Amino acid sequence: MSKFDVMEQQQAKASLFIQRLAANPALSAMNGLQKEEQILQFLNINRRQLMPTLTSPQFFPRMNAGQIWGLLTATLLNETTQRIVKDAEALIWGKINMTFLDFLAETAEAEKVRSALRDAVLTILKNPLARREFCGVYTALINKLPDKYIGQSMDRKKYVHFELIKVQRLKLGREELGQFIKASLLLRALVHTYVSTGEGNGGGTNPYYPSNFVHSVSEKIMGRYGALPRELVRSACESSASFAENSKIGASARITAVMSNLGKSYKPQARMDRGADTLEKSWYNTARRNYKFYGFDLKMLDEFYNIAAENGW
Amino acid sequence: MNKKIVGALESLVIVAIVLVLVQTFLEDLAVVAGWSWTLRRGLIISGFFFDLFFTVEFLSRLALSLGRGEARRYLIKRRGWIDFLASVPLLAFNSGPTLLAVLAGSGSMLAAAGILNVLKVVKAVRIARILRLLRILKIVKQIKNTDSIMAQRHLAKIATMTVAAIVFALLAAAFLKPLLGIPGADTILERENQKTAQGIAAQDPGRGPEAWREEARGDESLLLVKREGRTLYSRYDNAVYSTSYGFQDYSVITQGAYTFFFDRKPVQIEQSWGNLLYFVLIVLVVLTLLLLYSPHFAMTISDPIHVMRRGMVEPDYHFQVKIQEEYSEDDIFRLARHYNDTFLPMKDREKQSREPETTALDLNMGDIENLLQ
Repeated sequence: MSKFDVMEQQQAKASLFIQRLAANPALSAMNGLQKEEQILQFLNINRRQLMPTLTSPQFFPRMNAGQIWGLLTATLLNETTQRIVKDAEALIWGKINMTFLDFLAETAEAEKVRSALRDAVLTILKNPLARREFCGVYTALINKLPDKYIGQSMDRKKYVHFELIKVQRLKLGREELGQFIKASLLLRALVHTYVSTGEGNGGGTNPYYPSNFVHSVSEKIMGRYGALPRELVRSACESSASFAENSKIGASARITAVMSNLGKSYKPQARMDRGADTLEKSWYNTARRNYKFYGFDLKMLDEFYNIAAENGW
Repeated sequence: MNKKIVGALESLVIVAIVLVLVQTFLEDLAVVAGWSWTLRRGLIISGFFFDLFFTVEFLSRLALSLGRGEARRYLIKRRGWIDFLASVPLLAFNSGPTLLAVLAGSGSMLAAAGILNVLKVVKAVRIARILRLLRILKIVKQIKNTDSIMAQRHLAKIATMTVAAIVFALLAAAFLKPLLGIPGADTILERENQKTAQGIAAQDPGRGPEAWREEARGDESLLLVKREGRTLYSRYDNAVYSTSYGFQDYSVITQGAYTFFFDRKPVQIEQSWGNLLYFVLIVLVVLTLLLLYSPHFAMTISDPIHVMRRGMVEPDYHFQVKIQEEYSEDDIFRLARHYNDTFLPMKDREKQSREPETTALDLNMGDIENLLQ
């Protein structure tokens, strides 16, 4: 058997192992990135117990622990990326119809914007910090969180509506606003790709970046993805800054931040105990108490909290 | 003992408890509704076997707990006293003697009256049947309204105390009545029957059937009059007696050469009606506790505690306690407000500060055993 055949065989085994792990019923309700997070953590925690079996003749007899570890994690990341990219493409070329571009100050070509968004997602998925941030974004998007809250906010014509239409002056309809927020969410994690460890947010433990850092990243992104409208890039980047520190952050950026963070905690499969409030209402209440810590807009959280409470979300 | 066998036996006991409650209800309903003696006899015999089964169950549990040195714990904490009261006294003083009377037939038992007036004993301990209702408490323990052991214990305790109080009050009333000289319906009927018997015995024995019918109109409970083995008067045909009358349904008075048979059915019906009322009362009390109080307890006490406990123990559990507006000033909900507004946000900040270390892991080694074989 040639070396290439052996490698191919090992790759197939690793792929099968990962696929079976991902198919575990305990992970059935999770999305791709959540599964990836769980499996990586599982492999990490149980590394010692797993290795004697994985190095046995049945699995990877000619590889050492480090090589097996590398093969399994690379396979996992690769398989997840393929699935996420497919989903992202379906979003970009299907569910986000780009009609909002017609209403922005800058003219932008829909197809070029789509390609730029796809490139941005690929860049995000290559960066561990950005990839982790993208998990919340991805969860929010596939669970249609922006649609739920934008629609209700526009109908209510209260604080969120006022901030979007009157203050940020986004002359978009209800439908277009939803699409705009989704596109903003897709780009949000891009900021993290400009962060080296320890820079910007202290290595990922602070929930937001300083405004000047975000501003400079925004300019860099504009330079790199010229097809993207400035307003969209600014909304995506500013969502990583704190509203408490910078009250000029646009409403769309504030919504993007809230949706992305809600997505991080969002587990539609979680069993709600009798005596507990709903998942979203619980999250908004906690977020309201921590609004300064996360840099959220308190009034916006109040409105979303009320929407969640009234709709039993 | 094998867990499966224990589980099967426990299930059998639960089924038996449900069945004996139905049997108890039907036994009284049969009297009130005037079911045939064959059916009622079947119910009486089944009652004996149920009591025998529960006596064996109690003795087995007692023997096992004695073997483990836990007899006191079984009798007091695990409500063995209910097992005892709802089995041994019933078998010894109610269903046992009743079955003997049924099997021997009323004539033979009357012959044995010199040793033991079984009918009277049975009558006196009839009230002990109320103790059967205590078995309903054994079912309460099995109903899991919530995962909370505390909720189950509280519900079982309240139900035990309530039902036991009702049952003991009824028992006390039944035993105190004769002690205080308050005559019951059966005593009054017995006195009247005695008077009738004396009056008839004093009259001319050679009267014709018309005169007897006239006599019977004066006392509707008079069924049959015999003199030296010869029937002088009978209200019904023999077929009616054999299909509708059991040994508990009539009383026999001997006055000189006469033997009188009197109808006790009205008293029996009165007693069974009372029993049915007690039964319905206790079932309603228990159902009210189970269906109304139990959810209230869960909603206002055990559920909020359960949510807070999970929030404190599980890293990825972020649900807040639902504060019930009308009970918002209860201690539990005041505590829950602190949990919602202080603990959960603090936990969230703490989690953020240690990211990207870990999230709660839903996968464990047990989940992938097949993958590694």
